[in-house]
Amino acid sequence: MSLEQAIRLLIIGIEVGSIYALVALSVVLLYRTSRVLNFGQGELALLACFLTFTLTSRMGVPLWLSFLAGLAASAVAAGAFYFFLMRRAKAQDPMGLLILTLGFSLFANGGLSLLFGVDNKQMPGFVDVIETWQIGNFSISKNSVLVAVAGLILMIGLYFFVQKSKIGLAMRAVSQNPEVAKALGIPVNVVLVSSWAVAAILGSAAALLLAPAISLNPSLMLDPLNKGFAAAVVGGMTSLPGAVLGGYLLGIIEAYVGNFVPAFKLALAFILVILVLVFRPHGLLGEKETRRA
Amino acid sequence: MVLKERYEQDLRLVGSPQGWAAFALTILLFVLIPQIFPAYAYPVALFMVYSLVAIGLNILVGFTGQISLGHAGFFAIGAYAVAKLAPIITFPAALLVAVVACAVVGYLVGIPALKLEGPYLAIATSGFGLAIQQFFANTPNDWFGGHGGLIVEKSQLFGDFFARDRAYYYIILAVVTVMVYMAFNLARSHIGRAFVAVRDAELAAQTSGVNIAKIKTLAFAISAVYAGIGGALFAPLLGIVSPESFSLLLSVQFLSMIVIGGIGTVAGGILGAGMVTALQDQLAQAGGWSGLLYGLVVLIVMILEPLGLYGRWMKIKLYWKSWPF
Repeated sequence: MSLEQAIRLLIIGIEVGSIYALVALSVVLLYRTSRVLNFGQGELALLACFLTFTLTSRMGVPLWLSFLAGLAASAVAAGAFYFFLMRRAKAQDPMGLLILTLGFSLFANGGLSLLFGVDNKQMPGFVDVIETWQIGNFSISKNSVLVAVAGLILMIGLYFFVQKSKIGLAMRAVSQNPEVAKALGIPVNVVLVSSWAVAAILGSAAALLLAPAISLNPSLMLDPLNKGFAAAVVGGMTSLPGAVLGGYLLGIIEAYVGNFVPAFKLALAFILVILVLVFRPHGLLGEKETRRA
Repeated sequence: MVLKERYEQDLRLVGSPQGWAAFALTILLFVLIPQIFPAYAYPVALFMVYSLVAIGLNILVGFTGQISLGHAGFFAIGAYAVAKLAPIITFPAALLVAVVACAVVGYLVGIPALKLEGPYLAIATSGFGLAIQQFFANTPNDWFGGHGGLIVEKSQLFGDFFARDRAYYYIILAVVTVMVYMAFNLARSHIGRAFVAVRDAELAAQTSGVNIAKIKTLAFAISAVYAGIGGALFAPLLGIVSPESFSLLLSVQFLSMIVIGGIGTVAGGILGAGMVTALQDQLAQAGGWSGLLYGLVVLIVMILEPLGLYGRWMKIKLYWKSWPF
């Protein structure tokens, strides 16, 4: 493998990895506060994509505005799903809640398919996907750079949100111990609704960044969501830095391995998951959850 | 109320004359279905196949408390074992191979699963399901037919008599009856009780002498065998096995069966399989609406009745037993 090809694959790996990392962050953020794996994440992201597509391509709204509208819509939908359904469901064990999100996923996917159709749509992007920059005899896709940079900005933004803002502090408190947090006067419901909303925004941003490069249809998020879950597990379900690490690691390894053994690419993420879990059952950076019998 | 005085009464599978009557009626109904409602023979056969998988998954998820999103993988192993081997070594031998293969693979998956719980186990098992699907899709075409899959000819397997759909229905009925009986038996045996003990209080079970590692891997193996037999019966029923049908969605459907039917009981798995199969059979006519409606039913069940259909049935039964109090 020439150096040029190695660098090209690295860039692809970072681009894909930042999508995985964003999805993994949304999975981990939600898991930390509410101990739920949300399989409906993909459909929340789809909602954002379809709304952005309809507003811009069909109604001529500026892209940045419909982008924000899409993010807002998925945040509201996620918050509402938690507030009206998850919170009130009688099945409050982790398994019941998991099935609830699976039901939501099936329901929302069916609904979105009916509303927007199952055909492939060309999602508008901020840059043309085929445009490249020339550096010497080396060309680099503008879209790859955009995705990588936007992903990085979102991750830094999330860091400041979780570490510096008051609601972020409350989120960390709830993730450590919901009962005590409640007793200390933290409005747990507000925290949970906002962590559902923030998780939806992260997942939707990943989808909105991904969609222009491939076509938009109801199964857009199927693969990225699977990989995001895998990345979250590799990094550790309770660790936000772990999610970022897992995402990039998975993206880069996938780029290199996929180049040599394409058939192997789909199952690779899960082989990595199993390898990591055998040696570190709580992920690379995750902490063992203490349990009292 | 039935007052139990002896341990043997607690162990009994069928406790009362009404129970025996209900049991006989159920068997009679299933025997007569192809004769009375020939149109329903296929969905009912499918229901029986799925109920095996649901029972197996319930043994793992409901009894032992380990989640699996990868049962489509075991189902696929069973189906491919029959599709590939039955023309060569006859159907019963292929069924046996499916059982052994699933038991071994289930045991092997159970070993790393010992260290995992909750979301980690869910994702790892879903990965197992995906890996199996990719394995069957990407191995050379003359092994398992690649993406196109394998055709299963009933007449080739069973001769002309059993090749008829109606006759094959009775093969399924016989196998499923035996397996259901064994599941009820397992639930009341010391192993079944150890499963439940591990779920409810792992530490307490361990101090009482339950070998956690052995019980957990055994649960995985038994669960895999049930799913594998389901797959083995499924292959000739459908006539074709292809990797696309063993997706994560199928695993999700299996999980939704036990949740809708009732987690932690054998009867719950059967009820859930019936409900989901009936729902899909009816929704297939709804075209684009099927996903939406199916999701809606799952949502409604989870929001209103977390114990599932069987839980609701037990509540009604209890209400009438103690009526008017």
